[in-house]
Amino acid sequence: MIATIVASCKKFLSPDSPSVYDSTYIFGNISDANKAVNGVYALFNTDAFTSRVSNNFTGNNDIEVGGVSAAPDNSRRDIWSFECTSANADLLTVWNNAYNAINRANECIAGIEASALYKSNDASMLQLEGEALTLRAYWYYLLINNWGDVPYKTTPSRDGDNFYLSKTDRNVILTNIINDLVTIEPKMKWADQLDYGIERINREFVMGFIARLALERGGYALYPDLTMKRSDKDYLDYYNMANAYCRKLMTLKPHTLDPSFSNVFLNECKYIKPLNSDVLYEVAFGPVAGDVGWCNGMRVDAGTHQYGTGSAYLSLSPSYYHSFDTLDVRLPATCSIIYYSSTLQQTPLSATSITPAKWNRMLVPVPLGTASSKGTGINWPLMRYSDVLLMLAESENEINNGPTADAKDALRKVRQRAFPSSAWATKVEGYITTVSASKQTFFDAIVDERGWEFGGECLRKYDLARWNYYGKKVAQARNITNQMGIDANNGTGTYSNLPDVLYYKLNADKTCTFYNRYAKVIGGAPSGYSTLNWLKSLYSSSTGGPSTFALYSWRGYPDNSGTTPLRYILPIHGSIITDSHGSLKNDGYGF
Amino acid sequence: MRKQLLPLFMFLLVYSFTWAQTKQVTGKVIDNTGAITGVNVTVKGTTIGVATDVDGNFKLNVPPNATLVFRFIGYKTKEVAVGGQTQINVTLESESSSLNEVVVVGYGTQKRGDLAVAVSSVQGKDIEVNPITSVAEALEGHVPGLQVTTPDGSPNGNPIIRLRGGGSVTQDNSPIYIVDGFEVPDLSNIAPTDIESVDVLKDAAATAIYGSRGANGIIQVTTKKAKAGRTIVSYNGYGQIRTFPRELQVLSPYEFVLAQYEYARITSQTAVDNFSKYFGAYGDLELYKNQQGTDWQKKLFGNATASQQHNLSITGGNQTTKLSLNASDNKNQGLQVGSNYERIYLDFKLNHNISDKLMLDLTTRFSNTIANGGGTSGSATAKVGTGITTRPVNGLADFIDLGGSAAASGNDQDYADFLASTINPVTLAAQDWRKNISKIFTLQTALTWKVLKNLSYRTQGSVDLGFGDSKRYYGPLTLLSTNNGGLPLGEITLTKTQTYSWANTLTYNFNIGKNNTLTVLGGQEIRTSQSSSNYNRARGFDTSLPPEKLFSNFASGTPDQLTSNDPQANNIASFFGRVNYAYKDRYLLTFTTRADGSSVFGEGHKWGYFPAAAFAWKVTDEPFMKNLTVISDLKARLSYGAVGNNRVGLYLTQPTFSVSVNRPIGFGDTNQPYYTFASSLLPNPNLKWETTITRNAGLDFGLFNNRLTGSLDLYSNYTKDLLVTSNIPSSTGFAQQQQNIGQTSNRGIELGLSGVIIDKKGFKLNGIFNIAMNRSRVDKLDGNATEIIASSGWASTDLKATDDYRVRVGQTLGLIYGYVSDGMYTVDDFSSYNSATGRYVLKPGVPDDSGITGGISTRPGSAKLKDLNGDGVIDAANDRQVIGSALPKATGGFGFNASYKGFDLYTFFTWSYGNQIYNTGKIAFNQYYRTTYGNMLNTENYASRFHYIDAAGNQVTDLAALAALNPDPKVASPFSYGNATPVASSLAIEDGSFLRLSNVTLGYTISGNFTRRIGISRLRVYGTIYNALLFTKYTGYDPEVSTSPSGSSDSYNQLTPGVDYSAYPKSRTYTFGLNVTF
Repeated sequence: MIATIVASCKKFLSPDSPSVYDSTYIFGNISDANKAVNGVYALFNTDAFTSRVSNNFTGNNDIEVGGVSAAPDNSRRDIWSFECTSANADLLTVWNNAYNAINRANECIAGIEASALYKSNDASMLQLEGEALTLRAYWYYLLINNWGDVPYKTTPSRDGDNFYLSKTDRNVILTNIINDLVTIEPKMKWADQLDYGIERINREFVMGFIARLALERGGYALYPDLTMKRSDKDYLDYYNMANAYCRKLMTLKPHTLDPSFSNVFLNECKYIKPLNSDVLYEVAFGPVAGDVGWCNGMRVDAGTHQYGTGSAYLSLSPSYYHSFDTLDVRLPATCSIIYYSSTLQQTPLSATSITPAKWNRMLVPVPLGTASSKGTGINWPLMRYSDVLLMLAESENEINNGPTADAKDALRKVRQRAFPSSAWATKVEGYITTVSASKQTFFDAIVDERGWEFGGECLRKYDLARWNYYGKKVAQARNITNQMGIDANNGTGTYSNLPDVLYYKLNADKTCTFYNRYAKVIGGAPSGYSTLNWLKSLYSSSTGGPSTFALYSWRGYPDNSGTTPLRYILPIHGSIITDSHGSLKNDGYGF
Repeated sequence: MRKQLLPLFMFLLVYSFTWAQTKQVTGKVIDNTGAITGVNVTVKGTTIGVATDVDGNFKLNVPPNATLVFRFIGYKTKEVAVGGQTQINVTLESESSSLNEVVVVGYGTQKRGDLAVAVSSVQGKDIEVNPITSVAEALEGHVPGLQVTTPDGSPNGNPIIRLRGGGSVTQDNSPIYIVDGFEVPDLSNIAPTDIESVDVLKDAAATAIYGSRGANGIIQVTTKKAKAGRTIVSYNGYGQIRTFPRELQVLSPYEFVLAQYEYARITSQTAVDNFSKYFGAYGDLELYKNQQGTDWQKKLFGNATASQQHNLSITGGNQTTKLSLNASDNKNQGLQVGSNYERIYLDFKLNHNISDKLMLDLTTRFSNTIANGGGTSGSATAKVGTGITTRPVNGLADFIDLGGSAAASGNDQDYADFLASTINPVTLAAQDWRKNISKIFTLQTALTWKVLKNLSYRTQGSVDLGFGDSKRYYGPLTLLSTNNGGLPLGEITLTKTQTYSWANTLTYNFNIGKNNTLTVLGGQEIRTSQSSSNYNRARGFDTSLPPEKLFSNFASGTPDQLTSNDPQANNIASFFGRVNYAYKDRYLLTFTTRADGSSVFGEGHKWGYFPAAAFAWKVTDEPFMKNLTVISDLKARLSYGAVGNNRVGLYLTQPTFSVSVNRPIGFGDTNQPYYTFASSLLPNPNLKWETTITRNAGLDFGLFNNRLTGSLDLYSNYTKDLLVTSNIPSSTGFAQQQQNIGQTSNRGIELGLSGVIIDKKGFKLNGIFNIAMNRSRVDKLDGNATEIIASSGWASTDLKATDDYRVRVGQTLGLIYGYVSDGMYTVDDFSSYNSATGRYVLKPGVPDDSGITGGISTRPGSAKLKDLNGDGVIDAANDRQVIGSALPKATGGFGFNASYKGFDLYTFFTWSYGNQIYNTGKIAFNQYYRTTYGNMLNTENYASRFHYIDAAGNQVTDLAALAALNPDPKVASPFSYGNATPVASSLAIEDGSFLRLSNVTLGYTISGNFTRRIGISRLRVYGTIYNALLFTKYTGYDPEVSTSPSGSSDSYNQLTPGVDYSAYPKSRTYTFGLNVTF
């Protein structure tokens, strides 16, 4: 009797919970384990990723430039201008989201590894393990790029763990996550074997990502003493590794680049996801999710039309725009000098607000609606096959002290798509011959090519850092911008053949015709055309000096010689320092 | 049917038989003022009895040799032997002492005089004279130590009730509510007119019988009992007009355009050109002096609205069976357009004596509440700021006929866009359409069995069922809609809550000699509650579909989210006991203890034990006090005890997962559900009870023959093993974990006085007064931390350094943290003006704060922040400090109650002293915060602000000329701040002390033959003004405010009190009402 009472009392105080599950149940079958891994993916669909770490955190550089105001304002603009302080709330948002994703991934990895299906080498479970490991690696990659050394945790958090982790050397973390992926990669599935193709992390992406991580590991990084260093002892090993994985992918699963460069992004805008083509993996945004086409892409002003607002936070620098060969199809596909007004009239933009043209919210299958803004559903590419080609070319050049036939061939594939075949003789073959003169010239060609290929895709910042080119390229961009302004106003100099002003015409069909896009026209406005200050605006006639664009955009890096390292590393948010009880500090980096 | 009729027949037979042997007695019961209605007249030792009628008359058939017992609450019971009399007139003596009031204590009642614990009471008759809409309203200011704060003026807002400060740092500190011996989740379904009395149990000795949940006090509500006697029907009703008492002054249309012009002028020529396009050239601005402009505050909140309440009660029965039925209907209109609620209460009580040893009590209650409107706080779309910052005029657009949108092109399109950017706040309010329907059904039943003369057993059970149906419509102008394709969304949330409890108690009175009385109570209780919900959201509705239609045709949208949740039940099992011992009825001892097991804690931590003891000494009963006539009553009390708190969320002890569709991944263009942690806090298997130790010393006294009575209490409480939601490093993947750490304490003094000031023939004047002072202190946090950093979140991440609150060891809660304003930069701070760059050059050593203020570059007249550490740089890390303290030093109330002949006058004042308010409006409405061509408060008018344009509209830049233009500026330039850069500084901290005449009521009771002739025994008409007068230095709408911007309108954040962010303005109400008894 008493025993019964005690037992029922015990049960009464530990009631069932129909709506919750434990780890053993969830990882006991593929369907539920899928949903658990979806939880890690879901953390891509947060402001911390969509508008912040994937976009706003990647300016400013020589290509992507977010507009900076007259004084630091503790917003994303301070991150753009390298003046971010530990009070910037965006730092907290991204950091927390990253570790939230890492912990969810840790929970999945532990759950999967403890499951019977995993122990019996179930292919689907191994694939899920690979996805979780890659997602964890991706978030560590983002953390390392933005903060350098960070706390490193690979087990799901439980009470009793040491919460107060100090920083782990970024090279240790990189080595570990590379090794994780190297182990799981052969057990994963190709995109064409998966239910959601390139929207799910797949074997080819993991190979490419191993290469990217290896180049990061073998590249330069900023250290607390404000020097740029790389691990000279073993950096070449990692170039070899990057090379091996690019080759492995190109051998085991060769992809064909989409013959049309603009089509790659058109597909994304139209929700088309071709297999074995350009994009290896893109973040899948469902209905009314994602900010592509809102903060990155064509500007569309709100009006009575059904497309809503797209505002393009990042613009592309005028020096980048004019660095393109005018025959390069990637120029119009990457840079837009018009926006759509509230009446959908194509309207010219100024030279300091050239927007990324790759994504356009007006192209999605069903118009997003008059009052729509965020939530375009357009996917965000994390890696394309041309990246793998260019990583192969880059690693070949580094390992062999100069371009090999394979290196040139990879570059050739990328450039052939960029130019009409009629121009291949000069723009591809001739060009490759010229740039293959030395290891350095070929390397610089890779630097340029990656710029032209990936403009607006927010990869530049991390590339520049690992090459130790960040300061150099920023100084270059600023100097060129200034010189363009001076030359446009003086009518002489290196850039005086470029348009000082643009002549344009707004047509009745709401299109906009430019009389000149890439060259200066002598003799004033042709009849029927209006005038827009173009490179002229890069020089301030009132102050007799650079425009505010050049003055503000890279303000935190005043060195015009580009020799001092640029402080691209961000401070840790003040509240994280406080909560760490002394285990984390903003030491070094001049914070 | 036949079977059921038989007992009735038998009963009638016996009854008639008894009747046959009796004789009839008639009589009248009076007191010194006249007839008393409802006096119980019974034949001693039987159940035969009646109640007196309105004229005090009774008629009763009694057996021979009967003794009549006359019983009425508030009077001494009288017995009269009938003998040969047939007419018995009785005068009852009133029990002048409040010490004989019956006070409800846990699982029983006691006479106030016999209490050893701290209890404050409010009597129904004090509540009755006023037309209140909630129980909390009745308590406000009446009970020392009980702070009732209405966080905003929303018609359906829940007040915050805190006893003695509340000990928990991050947990719910609201008291528990007991109605007629049954615990209820809140008091919202008790009709205020149904209240007999409210007892507030304050110290642990009083609350420990409710052990686990007693830490924050217990509010015991006793509802009106069914009365035997003639059936009495009464009606109470009132009509009410709400008005908007306090409008904030904004810039006039002319001042508005002038400010916009100045802003454009100092920004750029382009800005001036745009300005002129919309508002005209500077030279023409004089025209705006003739414009009235739209008063948006008035449009949003200024509509005088009418509310009404009707209450009908019927009560009657005989000595064995009594019943009452009570019905109320309250329609309440809020100040904000479209916000209102209607609540219907129905309650039925039945008390039946099955035999003279067995009694059955049954209560059922039903309430239905329909609340409409979005309110102003939380995620509301139309905020207070909307009424203030929306531009009063639309410039030239007001004068130009655009000729319809079809004709709009080119320049006209600009105007149309500009016009469209002025979203009429009234339209905006309609975009945020909400309807919340809540139905609560309660059934309470108890069976009391007098097993033996000294032994009684009671078993009681209750069922509470709540059904919520909440609908929210997001119009195309709401943020959620623009982020979801720009078409309307609708969401339906259905919730179901169910609570069951069962308690059994045994009480035994020991008879051990003349001088010793001993009562022992033992009991057991189990309680389970669970709430489940279903959520359904659809998007892409047609814009033309009105919300009401939309929710009736949900299929016309695209299904978006559909979720259901059946969380774990929250179960508690308890055992408790109480011993009351009295020696010579003079020395009173009470011991209580309770053991509680709670399902929210993990294995090994489920049980908590809460003992308490109290001692009281009735000093006046001592022989040596007999000659002291001044002191009529004096009792000293001492108590000590432990109480607990288990109000933590579910799933906090073990990692568990639940499914979510919030911001999912979109494989295949479809939102994919995913598993995430069931709790956002890192599980802690070691969680245990939070324990509050309370120590109380009190005096109850009555002076001058109890003309002045009162209670004085001193207490010192501390709460240990605080259940704190602690920040943990987010590298764990969690930002917080629930932990038992630290300790807080509350010390205080409370005094309540009540006195008869004048009692002359026909004229009575009573006064009540109470005051409470509480000092809260954070004794310690966990091992390392000396402070908790908290954010009110009112401006989200716009706020420069978002953390604007601190909790610090050794200090009180509610410390507001921010920059210190140093007024403005003066001309003397600058060495020169550089006309090429348009910049002013600061003198060496003068720090530049433009990095924080973010507006126009630093110049004379721009806002200046203090460089606290003197390092020449203004930064968040070194130049902020505690700038305000939100908790009051003292609170209280006082009132007077006068009656003269048929008139009665009641006044009540409440006050608070020494608290500061973080007035976010003072920041946001004195700059262009997230507005384009928006308005500001009148504090920023041209004469007051530092300005940069002269009479001709030209910008003045020269230092000396600027000084001459601004001989005596009152405030810094509002353009010092960027469009999204509010700064938490000492400018926003204001004194929140106030004195409010919260209630003044004048009533007149018409009695006499006239009313009686039309069947009315009592008729009272009255008028009341609520919030009649307010004395305060506070510049916002109302100083009684504490809003939580991130949560819903009724959530209160213990860590960040005293924020005034978009609080729904309080109304002044004028009420006219009627009480009728038939």
